[in-house]
Amino acid sequence: MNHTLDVKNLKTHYSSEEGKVKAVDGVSFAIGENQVFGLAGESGCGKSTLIRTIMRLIPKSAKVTAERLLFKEHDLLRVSDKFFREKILWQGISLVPQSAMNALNPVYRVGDQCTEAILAHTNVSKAKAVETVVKMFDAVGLQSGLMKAYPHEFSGGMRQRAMLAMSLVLSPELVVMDEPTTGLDVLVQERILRNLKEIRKNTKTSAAILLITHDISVIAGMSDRIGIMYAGKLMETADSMELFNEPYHPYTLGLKNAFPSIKALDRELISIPGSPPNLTHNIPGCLFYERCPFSIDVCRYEKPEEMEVLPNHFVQCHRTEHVMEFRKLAGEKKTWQFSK
Amino acid sequence: MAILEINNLKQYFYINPPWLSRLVSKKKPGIIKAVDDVSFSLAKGEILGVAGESGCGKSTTCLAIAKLREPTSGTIHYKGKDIAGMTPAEIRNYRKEVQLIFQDPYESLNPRFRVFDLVAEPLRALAVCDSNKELTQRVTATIAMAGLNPKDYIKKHPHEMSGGERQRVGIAQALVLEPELVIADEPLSMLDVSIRAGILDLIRDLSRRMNFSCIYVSHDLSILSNISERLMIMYLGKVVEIGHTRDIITRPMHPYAQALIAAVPIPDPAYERPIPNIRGEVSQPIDPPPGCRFQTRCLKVTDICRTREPSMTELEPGHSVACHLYT
Amino acid sequence: MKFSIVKDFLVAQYKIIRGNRFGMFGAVILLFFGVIALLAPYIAPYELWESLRDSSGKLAILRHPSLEFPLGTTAMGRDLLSQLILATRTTVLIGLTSGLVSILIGANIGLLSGYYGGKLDEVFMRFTDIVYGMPFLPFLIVLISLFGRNIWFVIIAICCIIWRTSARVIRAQVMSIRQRQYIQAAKARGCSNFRIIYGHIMPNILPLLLLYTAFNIAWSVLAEAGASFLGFSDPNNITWGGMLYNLWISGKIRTAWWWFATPSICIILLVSALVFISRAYEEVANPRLKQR
Repeated sequence: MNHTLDVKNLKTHYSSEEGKVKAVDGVSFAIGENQVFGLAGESGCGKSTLIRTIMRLIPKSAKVTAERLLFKEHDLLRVSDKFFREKILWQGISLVPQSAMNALNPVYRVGDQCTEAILAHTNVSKAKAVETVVKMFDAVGLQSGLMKAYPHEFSGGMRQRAMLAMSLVLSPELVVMDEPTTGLDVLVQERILRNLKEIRKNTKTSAAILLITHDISVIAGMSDRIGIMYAGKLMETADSMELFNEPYHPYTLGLKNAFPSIKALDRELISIPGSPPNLTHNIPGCLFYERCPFSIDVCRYEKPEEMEVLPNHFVQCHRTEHVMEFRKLAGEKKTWQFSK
Repeated sequence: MAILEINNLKQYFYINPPWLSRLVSKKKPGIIKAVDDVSFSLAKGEILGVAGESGCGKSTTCLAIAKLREPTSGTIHYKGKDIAGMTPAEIRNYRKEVQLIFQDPYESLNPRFRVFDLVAEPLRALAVCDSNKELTQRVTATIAMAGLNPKDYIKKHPHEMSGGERQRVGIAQALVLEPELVIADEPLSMLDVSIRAGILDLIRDLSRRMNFSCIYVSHDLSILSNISERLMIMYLGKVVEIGHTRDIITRPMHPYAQALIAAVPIPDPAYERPIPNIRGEVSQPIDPPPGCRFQTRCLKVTDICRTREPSMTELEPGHSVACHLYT
Repeated sequence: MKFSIVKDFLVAQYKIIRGNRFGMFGAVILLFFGVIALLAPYIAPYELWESLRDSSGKLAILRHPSLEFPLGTTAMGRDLLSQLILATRTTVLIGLTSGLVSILIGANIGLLSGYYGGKLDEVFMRFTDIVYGMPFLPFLIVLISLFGRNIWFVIIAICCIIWRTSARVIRAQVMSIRQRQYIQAAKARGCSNFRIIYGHIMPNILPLLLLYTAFNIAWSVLAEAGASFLGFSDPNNITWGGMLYNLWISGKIRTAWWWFATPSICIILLVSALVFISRAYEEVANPRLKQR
């Protein structure tokens, strides 16, 4: 199978004042051509570090190891910085960073910044570059006249769309989006996601998307495949329909109940007790042990191996054989009311 | 009996262009009509949700009710008494009864204070307790009520706590005075999703236990649908629809409410979101055109919408809309 | 429980200074001078104005440093070591008093101006601008010519001028803190303006405050040294600058290096120590400066 991005056992470890932080600890996943992979997780789970590792935006003092980190045929662990910057960045992989609306340089016109990106990486003429930008602006729903405007004249949503357009101008094969809709109103958010879907349907190139967010509702609507990240590890990875209909990991079960939905007005909201672990502490067992209502002794002392419970559905849990029972229990509030 | 009655509340901000450009181009001072003729009431013990996007005026309304900002015009009656023109002593009493829960747990706690002092501060500032013993008792009880074990937390500084813990401290701060009206300004938006439910439950339980009324402001309709009994939707400083939460969520009447509800994401991959019937961008509440505020974005706009502002019409008991489609 | 803020503060200061090499060095020097200043009358071997005779009976004029007179003697036969020790006390006193009073003025003006804004801010800042325009020495000269040479006028003159920089800086910091949500929260919880300014805002500007306290004391010492060197000091209370003044009027400045060296070194050491301590606070006020 031809993967756009193939990651196996990626680890990013930092040393901080308090000790070694295993921000990303053995993450494996693959994104196929034209596939949308949603990476869900809360603050501190390591998803931002993960994309920064892929994009080479982490400080030099961080240690990165992996069995495989392939983008198409390029080994991202071995290519030089120069090659990465010239050939891979923007053209191969582009990034729409978090709070992208603040990533635009306030003293340059928006259109100029976009054409700049094209001209810096390819040899096309300025006219052709402008034409591409106009096309992209149109695709995201921005009028071409807005190219002459400055960032402060755009609203937050418009800036985000401009960043989206900028990330697509060089027709990259992988677009990484870090919390693309956080901080935006729901109508603006809906519009951006709709634009994204339309762009993918219309453009001829096959762009895969790595979408990172803490909002499960956004991920549900957009992704083909979903990975649930917690404390630096991928707890569960599966196709999105299967993840929602047949979840395995207790964290996933907990998350399902934590999201209110206007379609389920009577459903009780249940929150997961506790908070994510401190990554500087060396935890021998499963990282979800403290908050898991179904944990047993082995969970405390041994880290679970990644298992393929269904075709292409991976889980890191010791007790997957009891999942039917867990799914039922997870829906009850008293299951989650315990203290360790 | 309504504990709070807001009538024709207006909060205008005047922007004065620099005097030189005023002289040269005769630019008139612009007016931001952040809150423009808002009226609603709140019953005792009720949780009213206020929904709307950024710039709709919901936070400004809260500040006016909390008496942190003087409204331009309109009246706010608390327990039947007008809160404008209060003496300093009356304001102090008002603060004992009307409190706020803030949005950002990382910004709303003074980083130099420990948890005990943070929660004790309202009591100290308003000189509520007669003895130190009473103060300590009340503070530890409130911290426990907020779901934190006092023994573990009273000595901590904010930076030693997670977002959820900080927000609980913020809630304790608001509730230590045993207020009768609590205004919660998006208390969950900065928290991780897995702990939001816990804080939401806390607010709901405490509102029942302590019998306080609550105005819950949020842009997240999913959360509002879970906690509020009645819902009020605002757009550009005006109330467009108000009614029981269930009625509005299942049968929204105002085109804006319909678009908003259509746009709410559902955590279900099988769900196909309908395209909201709305066009254009959110406009700024600066110098709005005459007529309905929503005219530039409404797909069902007619001539009357461009000339006259719609008034609130009651469609069914407790459910009112401000739209010419229904008058 | 209110006590915990004071205790926290002291513990925090200790940690800040401990954690910084410059801070430690500065603290040690300050402690050294402080001890000398305290014990001055008890450790000075001779009287201040006593013209001394050496073992052979001759007037000990302009002696090089020796066992008998470790720092040498002046043109009038006075022991420089004793002078230095006693002058330390006066210098430290002037430095501390002027420094602390000026930071009190500056901090309060900064706090009130930054918090209230509006007309009060305008008035205070325009007044600060005027003080910025006032040169220190002429001001001191005027005071002294009107009222005579007295240590208190030196202190008053310094206090009247030095507060201006700290006022500006603290005001800027207060203005940014005033916008923070926890200040709005404090207001909502019923705190009076006074309580907010001194109970909520001030604890947050403490690193900056301490930084400028150190600076103010340093500037006071320098200002006093400069003024004394030019002769505008109290002839009865000698300071390090005053010692240099005596050296100058004796005409022996080119030859009596021992007389010149010690007061100058002391001034440099004290001012440097204060600046080093302020570096420790600079790191707290701006954490990005922390050495990784």
